[in-house]
Amino acid sequence: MRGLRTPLSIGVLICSVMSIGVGVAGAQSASPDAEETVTFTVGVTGDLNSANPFRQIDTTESFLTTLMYDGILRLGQEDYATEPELLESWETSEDGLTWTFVLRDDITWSDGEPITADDFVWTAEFIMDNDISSWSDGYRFTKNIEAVDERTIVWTTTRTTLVPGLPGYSLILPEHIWGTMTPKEIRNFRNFPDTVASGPFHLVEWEPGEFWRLEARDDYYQGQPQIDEIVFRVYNSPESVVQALIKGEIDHTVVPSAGLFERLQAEDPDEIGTAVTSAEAFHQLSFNVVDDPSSTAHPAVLDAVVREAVSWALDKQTMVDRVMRGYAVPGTTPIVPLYDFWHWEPPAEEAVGFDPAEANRMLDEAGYLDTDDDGVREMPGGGESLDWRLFLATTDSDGIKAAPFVQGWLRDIGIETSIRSMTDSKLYDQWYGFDWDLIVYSWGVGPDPDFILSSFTSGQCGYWSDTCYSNPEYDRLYKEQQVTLDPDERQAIVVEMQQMLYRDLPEIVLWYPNSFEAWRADRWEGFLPWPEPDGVVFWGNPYSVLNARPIVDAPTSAEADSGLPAVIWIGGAALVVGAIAGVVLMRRRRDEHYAA
Amino acid sequence: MGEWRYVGRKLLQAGVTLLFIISVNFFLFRIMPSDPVRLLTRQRGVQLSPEAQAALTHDLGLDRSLPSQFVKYLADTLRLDFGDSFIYPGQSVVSVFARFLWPTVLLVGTATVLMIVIGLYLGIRGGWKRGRPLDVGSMGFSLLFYSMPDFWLAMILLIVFSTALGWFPSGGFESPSSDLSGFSRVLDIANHMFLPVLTLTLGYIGEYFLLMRSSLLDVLGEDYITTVRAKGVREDRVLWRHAVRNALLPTISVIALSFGLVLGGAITIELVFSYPGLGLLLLQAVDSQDFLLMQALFLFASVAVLASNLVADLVYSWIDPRVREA
Repeated sequence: MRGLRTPLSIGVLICSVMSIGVGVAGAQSASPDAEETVTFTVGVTGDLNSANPFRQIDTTESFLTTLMYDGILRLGQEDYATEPELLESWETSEDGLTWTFVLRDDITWSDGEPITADDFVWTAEFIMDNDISSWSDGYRFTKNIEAVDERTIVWTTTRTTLVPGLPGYSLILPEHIWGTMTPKEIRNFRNFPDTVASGPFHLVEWEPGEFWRLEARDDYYQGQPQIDEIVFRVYNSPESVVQALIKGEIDHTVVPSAGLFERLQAEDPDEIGTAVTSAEAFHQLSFNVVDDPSSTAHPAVLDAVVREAVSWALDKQTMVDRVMRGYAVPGTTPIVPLYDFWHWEPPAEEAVGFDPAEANRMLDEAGYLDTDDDGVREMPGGGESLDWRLFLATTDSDGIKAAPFVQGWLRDIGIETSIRSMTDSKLYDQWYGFDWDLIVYSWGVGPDPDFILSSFTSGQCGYWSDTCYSNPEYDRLYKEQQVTLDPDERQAIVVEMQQMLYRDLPEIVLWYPNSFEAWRADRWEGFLPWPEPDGVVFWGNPYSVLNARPIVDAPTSAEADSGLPAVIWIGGAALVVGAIAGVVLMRRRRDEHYAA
Repeated sequence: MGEWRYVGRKLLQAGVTLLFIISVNFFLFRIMPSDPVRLLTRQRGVQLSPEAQAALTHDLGLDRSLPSQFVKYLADTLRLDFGDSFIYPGQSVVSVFARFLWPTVLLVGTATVLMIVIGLYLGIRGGWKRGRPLDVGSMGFSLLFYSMPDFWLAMILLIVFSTALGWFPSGGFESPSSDLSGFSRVLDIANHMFLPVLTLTLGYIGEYFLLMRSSLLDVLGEDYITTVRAKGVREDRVLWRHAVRNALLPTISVIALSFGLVLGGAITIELVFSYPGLGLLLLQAVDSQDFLLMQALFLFASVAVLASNLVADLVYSWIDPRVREA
């Protein structure tokens, strides 16, 4: 009898303890919230590394910066036109050397302190003094930045330049928080918890590897967002983030590949909204053209004729169709076609198309002949064969798909390549060590052409330059466009620079990829593409963040996340306990039976 | 007396191995081809001035002689000070490790217990009634899952039970809302853990099943079993008292090793289910060459294996006194 009672009563005890727990839990969730929190959940495939704007690495961090910090100027939602954000007014002097910015009088940090001209000056000086490369571009030619009073900033430059008027670069951090630290402390500053922000949201919770959560401010000068909180959830694979969207655990995600995007398109469009957004990036094939004794580049890649022949040999349209499944545009110059004012598209008679015969003819003519008949050309006059290394990053899935195509087309013109993919950091090692021939990589490009054009100037070798291309005439034009305030004149120079790059080909622009976004169309409305009509829907888009609103009575991501109801867990647990009790019971009884 | 000598010898061996691991860990990361300073600063478009590089070299202690670096490393290791993580700037390696430790221990630990208990039980039952439906069924079932790639099984379970049926969340450690507490939080964590645990358990039952089954079959063929049976001891007792006890011995070291490997995480499972565990952290660390973090992860993982082996040795000697004499 003793053996009979014990296990059963334990089972009963466990079950009753569990039901007390459920009762409590039920009571908790039943207690009505004063008002429902409106949560927008974004699925991401990369973790947040830092909330410190000086440590931002990719768009995950820069989106956080966008949400937390407003700039003095911004790019308008419809057409990227420059417009004031934290400013009430701004003007340029006749000579273009003095800029006066007046801050609004109703702007505050999320801790209630006013945003002042001193904050701006402190941030600018910190960036310039410490040469924070991700931000210092916005302060070139600065002679002095001064706070004239609480709200007025006077920015003088050494030469006529547009730089102070370029939105997107300027950052303002609260001096009363950041100004109390040493530069080293600032570099290691987590900026969490107690993040003090100027933008509509501030970071309140962050679990590395899991999620981070931002809450809307209720005192935001542009009006309170209709989203109360934005949660970024980390998913470890592209596959699972797509599953999470279909299931409804998240409200939005950037879709990393065309294959997954097409699968989402097959879902009911009333549930899952999808958008192909215009390219603000390009993929390129770079040549190591550096003039440096430590370079290990194959001599043939230094020859512009060879590079042009390579360009004739590549079928960009096929790459767009086969690698990008049609979600891209064949590439020409580093300024993407979306910025049509600046982009130069080569006219038909100047365009380098797909013509292997022409490529072979050029190489023959230049003396690169296959003298030993092994299918691979040698340097003029015999000698080293044209056997190149093609490097790319393991994270670059499109590049990895494209590389075999490139290899095949180069083989058709008698150039052998060996493909090697490696981690980003290893790739940078090779890259900055000038230890490579070809690299396939990509760039994201902003609306103003200055930055991407600067990456081809000789001064950027070892910094932003992919190829260490060096052309004094190009450098001269670059400086000239920087001080040309008239848009049409500047456009003419920018076009000339693109023509130069298209002719010298330090890198071949392969394609402009589209981006994919998908979201729960059954729950949310009010997204504002930036710019109209095919710009980004939500990712990094402050206008959609402020304007997105829930469709009334739609289910939320939190509900989809709940999983199995408690009852099933309790039932399951009771079943297991019961089974164990049963087995033990039977054994005991049998023991008793035998013992008897 | 001999007992304590044995324990002492084992502890000493473990201590020496630990010292060896710590030293290897030190030299391993110093013979890596990449320059750590370069690794910490590399980024597209960023190059440090020579002065800044020198300052960083000094900060990392890399300008000192190798022996003095080693002494400093030993002291730091003893204090569990592994420096700051590169992928999470401003956070110490130990705090990052602690952050990802708990989910992994919970996930892989639970699954390991389950796969061992179920696998051993089925192995015992199968071996005892060889060729019967339970044996054949267990064999087919466990081998089927054992031979499946675990990420594939994970994907199928995810699509069926999460996306299609909606019973379980598609990933993560818990729901990203801060208002859960007490029992509802436990439930939430269990909900998130169910599919990954199921995948791991199903996938590895076979290992323990086969091991236990063959070990039991060996023992059942021994003469003493025949003797016990001839004495008229009832079958149940023959199995549990006489056969299983001895058949369990070879499984102990395998079991101990499995627990030691918990700290390695389950990379593929953690990937598919977006589970924030150590396997994933290691993957991230390797991917971005966060060598301070890698160093700590390697060290902790090896220490865990070492510790569980020590436990196995001690348990073994306790169960089977013959070991002590050997």
